[in-house]
Amino acid sequence: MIIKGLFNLIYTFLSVVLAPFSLPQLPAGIQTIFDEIVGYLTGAVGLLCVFVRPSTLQLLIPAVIIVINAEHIWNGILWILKKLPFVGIE
Amino acid sequence: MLSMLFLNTLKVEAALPQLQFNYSRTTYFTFNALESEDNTSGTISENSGGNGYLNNGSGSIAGVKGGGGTISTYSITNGTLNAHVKVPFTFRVSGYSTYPSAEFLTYQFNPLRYENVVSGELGTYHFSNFSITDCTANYVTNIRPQENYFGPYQTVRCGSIKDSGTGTLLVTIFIEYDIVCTKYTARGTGQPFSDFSVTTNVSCNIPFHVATDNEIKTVSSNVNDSEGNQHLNEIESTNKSIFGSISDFFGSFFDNLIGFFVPEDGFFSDWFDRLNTLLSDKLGMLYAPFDLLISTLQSIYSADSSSAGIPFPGIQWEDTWLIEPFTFNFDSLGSDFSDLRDKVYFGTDTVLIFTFLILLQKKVRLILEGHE
Repeated sequence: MIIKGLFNLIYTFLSVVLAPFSLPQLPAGIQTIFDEIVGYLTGAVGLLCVFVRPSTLQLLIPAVIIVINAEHIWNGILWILKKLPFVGIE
Repeated sequence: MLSMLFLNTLKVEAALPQLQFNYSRTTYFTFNALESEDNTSGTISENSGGNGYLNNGSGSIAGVKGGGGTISTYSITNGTLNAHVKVPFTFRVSGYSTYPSAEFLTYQFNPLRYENVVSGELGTYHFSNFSITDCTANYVTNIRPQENYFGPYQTVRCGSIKDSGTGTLLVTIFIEYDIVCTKYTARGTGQPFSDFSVTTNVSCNIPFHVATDNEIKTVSSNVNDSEGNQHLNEIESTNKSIFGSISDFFGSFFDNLIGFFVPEDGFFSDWFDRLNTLLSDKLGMLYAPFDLLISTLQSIYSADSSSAGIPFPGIQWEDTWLIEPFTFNFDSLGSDFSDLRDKVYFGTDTVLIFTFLILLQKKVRLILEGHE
C-alpha cells in the first residue's frame, strides 16, 4: 500500500506536470518503419536465443543494469538513510 | 528486493501489452422513406459511418475504427421499433512479438442511446442479445467466440488458440445486438419514426492473458456446469466451522500485513504501462526512441526457448506475399539438436555468469574501497 501510494503519487505528479503538453505523434510512415525495426530486433532476439538461454538473458540484463549503476543506487540509499533521524547516519 | 520485484514482474507480466480503452462511435441510420409510418417493416442501412474516437485508454494501440453498421431488419409496430444491428469494430495493435499459446479477449458494451436526428428527442430503449458473432484476426488460428457472459455491462468473451506470429495484430469483431425502442413518451403511438442515430460505446479490456491448459478446461467446465459449481460452493461455505474461521483470520492477518507494504501482483506492470501511455501521449514523437527501446526489451522478456531460430523476412508485393516470413526452428532437427543446445546453453551461461561476477566484484570494490 505504501509503495503503491508512492508510485501512484509519482504518476499523478507527472500527469499534472505534463498536462499542458500534447506534442504530435510520429507520422504514420515513420511509425511503420519503427514497427519494422522492432520486428527485425525481435528476430535478432530469436537468433540470439539459439546461443543464449532466454531466462539467463532475462535475469542478467536488469542485474547488469543495476550493478553498473550500483554506485548511484548506493548513494541514493545513503541519502535517504541520512534523512532519517532515528537511523543516526551522518 | 526491489530488483527481484522488478525482475519477477517483468518476467511474468511484461510479455504482452495490456489494452484498456473506451471507444465511442455514433452511427446515423436513415429509413428508406423520409419518415417511416407505423406498422411497417423492412431494411435500413447506415447513412454515414461517423467518426469513432478514443475516449480514454492505456496501453499501445495503433488505430481503432468502426466500419459500416448494418441493420438487417427492422419493424415498427404500435410505435415501437424493433431492429437488429451488426456493427464491425477493427482494432490494430502494432509492435507485437511472439504469441502465447492461448488468449481471451473480453469486451464490454455499455448501453447505447437513441436520439432522433431531426428533433433531438430521446426515446426509451433497451438493448439485448449482445454477442460477438464473428472474430477475425491475422496470425490467429481457431479464433471463435467461446462463451458469452452477460453481466451488468454485457461482457462478452471471445477466445482463441493461436500460433506464433510477429508484427501487427489486426482484430475485427462484429457486435450484434437487438434494439427495442419506444418513441417519445410524451406523444402517443402511431407517430412515424424519422432518421435516428445510435451512439455505441465499446469498453474494451484485452488482457492478452496466457491461459494454461488447466485454465481453458476450467473455463469450459464452468460454462457447462456453472450451477453445479455454485451448489458446491454453497455446501462448502455452510460446512465451515468457527475454528476454521479463526484460523483463516490469523492466516489472512499476516497476508494483509505483507500486503500493506508489497503491492499486489500486476501492479508494477500496470503502472509501467500507464506511465508509458502517458508519456507517449504527451511527449509524442520525442518519446518514440524510448518506446522503441521498451518494445525491444519487451520482446526480449517475451522470448523463450521456442522462439529460438533463424528468422527469414518475407517478400511482399502490395497485398500479396511472394515469400511469406518464416522462422527456421532448430527443434525440427530432432532430439540431437536439443542435447547440443543444452550444452551450448550451459557454456554460455557459465561465461555470462562468470563475467557478471567479475563485474559485481569490481563494482563492490569501487563502492566500498573507492577503487576497482
